[in-house]
Amino acid sequence: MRLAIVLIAYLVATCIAATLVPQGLSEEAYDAMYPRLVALLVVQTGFGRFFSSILFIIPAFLFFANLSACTVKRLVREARKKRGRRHGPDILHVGLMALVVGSVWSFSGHRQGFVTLSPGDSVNLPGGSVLHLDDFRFERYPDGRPRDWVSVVTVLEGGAPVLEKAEIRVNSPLRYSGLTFYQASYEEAPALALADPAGGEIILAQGEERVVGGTAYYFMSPEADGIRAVMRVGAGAEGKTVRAGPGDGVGELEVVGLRAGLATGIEAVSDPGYPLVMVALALIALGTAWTFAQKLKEGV
Amino acid sequence: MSLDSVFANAAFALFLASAAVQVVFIFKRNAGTDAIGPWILLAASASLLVALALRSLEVGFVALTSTYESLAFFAAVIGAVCFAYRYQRRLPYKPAAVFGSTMVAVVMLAVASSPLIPKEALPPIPALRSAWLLLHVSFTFVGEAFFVAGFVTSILFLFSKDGERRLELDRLTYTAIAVGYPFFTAGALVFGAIWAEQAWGRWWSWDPKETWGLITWLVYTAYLHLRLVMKRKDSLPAIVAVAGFLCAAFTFFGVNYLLPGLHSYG
Repeated sequence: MRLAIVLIAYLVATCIAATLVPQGLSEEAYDAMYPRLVALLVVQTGFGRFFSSILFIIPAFLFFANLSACTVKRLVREARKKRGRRHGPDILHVGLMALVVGSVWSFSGHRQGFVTLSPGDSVNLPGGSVLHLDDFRFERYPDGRPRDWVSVVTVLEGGAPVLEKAEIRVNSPLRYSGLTFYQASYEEAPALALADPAGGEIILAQGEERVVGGTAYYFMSPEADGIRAVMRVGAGAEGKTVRAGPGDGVGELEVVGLRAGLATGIEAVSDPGYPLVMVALALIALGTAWTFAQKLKEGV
Repeated sequence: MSLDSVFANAAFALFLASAAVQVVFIFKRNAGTDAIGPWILLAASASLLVALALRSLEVGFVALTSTYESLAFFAAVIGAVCFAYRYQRRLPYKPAAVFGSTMVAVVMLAVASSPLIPKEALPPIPALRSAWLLLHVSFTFVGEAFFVAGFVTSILFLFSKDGERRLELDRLTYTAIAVGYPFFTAGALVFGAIWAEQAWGRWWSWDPKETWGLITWLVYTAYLHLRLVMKRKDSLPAIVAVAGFLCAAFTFFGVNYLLPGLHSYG
C-alpha cells in the first residue's frame, strides 16, 4: 500500500510538471525557452516527451504490477470470507488493470489517416472498398455562426454501394469495417462552373477532370485575379493549357465563372484496443459506485 | 435585462442572504439550529437552475457550454448539496461546513459575474454539440460539489484542536469524498473518455485538461487509500483532501486560462 501511495505521489508530481513543460518540442525550441542546463535536462531525460519516456512508463508499469498484486491478494482474502464480502474494489481494480492493458493496446495499435475531399471525390479504403463524398454541408445558426459540418458519403464495394448517403458529423462519426470516420475539418476549395452546349452546368473542383464529348477538361487552379481559371483541355500530348474567364469558350464548353466551393477533411481511425478500454471504463464506473455505495450503506 | 439574468442575479442575492443568516446562527448564542439559511440556499440553487433552463430554451441546447453557465451550474449543485447535508440524519451537522461551502459557491458566482466572463447566451459550437456534454459536465460538477464540502471540512479539521470535533470533521470529509469520487470518476474520466473518442478519435490525448483531471483523480485516490484502507486519522489525509480540491480548481480555472489544449473553446 505504501508503494502504491509513493507511486501515486510520483505520478501526480511528474504529471503536473509535464503539463507545465510544453511537450514534443525540438531541442532548439527548449533552448530558446529555458537556460541551457534546463533545456539539456528536459531533452536528455526525455521529459520533453514525458508520457512516452521511461520516466513515466517504468513507474506506470510498477503501479500496474503493484495494483495486480494487491488485486489478487484482495480477491483471495474476500473469497475466503463467509459473509460481508466487498467486491466493489475488486471490480474497480480489475477495471484499472484492464484499462492499463487496453491503453497499451490502444496507443500501440492506433492508426489514423487524413484525406481532403471535394463533393464527387472518392478515396480507396484498406480492404478494397471506396469512400465517395456525395455532398458536404456547412450548417449555420441564423446569426451565421457555425452549427455543424456534415459530410454525406457512400461506401462502395466492388463498385456497388453498401452504405448510402451516410452522414459524418462532428461528434457523430461513421463506423464501418473496423474504421471510424470523423468530420475533422473543412477548407475552402475553389471550383469552376462551366456551361455545356445543352445549357447544363458542370462544376469542376480544383484538380478535378471531367470528360465531355470525348474531350478531357481539367481545372488546374484559379488565376491570381480571382476571375479567370487555368485549365488543361484535352488529354496527353494533345492537351493544351488555357486561361479563360466568364463567357470564354473552352472546347465545347463555356466558362461561367469561379465558385467558392468547400472541401471536407475526414480522418479515418483504427483503434483495436478501444473495445477493451470501453469494458475497462464500465468496470471502473461500476466498481467505484459499488465500493462507495456499500461503504456508505455500512456507515463507514 | 433578460429573464435568465434576473433569476441569476436573484440567486446571487439569495446566496449572500443565506450566508448572512448562517453567520447570525453561528455567532448568536442560543439561536438553535439554522432552519432558514439552508432553505434560502435551496431557493438560490433553484433560481440558478431556472436561469440555466431559460438559457437552454433560448439557445435550443443544454446551457452548459460556457464558463459562465458551468460556474452557475456548479454553484447550484453546491447549494443543493449544502441543503441535503443540513437535512440528512446520518452525519453530525456542522454550520461552519455549510457556511464555508456557501462561500465557495459565492466565489464561483462572483467569478461568473466578472466582466471578464462572457455572459451572452449562445448556441454551442459544433465540437460541443453532443449528448455526452450533459453527462460529462453534470457528473463532474456533482462530484466536485462534494469535493467542495470535503475541502471545507478538511480546512476546519486542520484548524481544529478539539479531538471530538476533529473526529466528526474527519468523518464528514471522507463521507463527502466517498460520495463525490464515483460521480467525478464517471463524469470526468469515463464519460469524458467516451466523448473524446467520438469527437476527436482518441479517448485519451494527454491534453492538459485530461492530465489535470487524472491528477485530481489520483490525489483523491491517494486520500481514500490513506483514510479508508490505511486508516490514517492524522492531518495527512486532510492535507491531501485540500490538495485534491486545489487540483480540481486548477483543472477548471488554471488549465482554461494558462494551459491551452483540446479543451480550449472560445
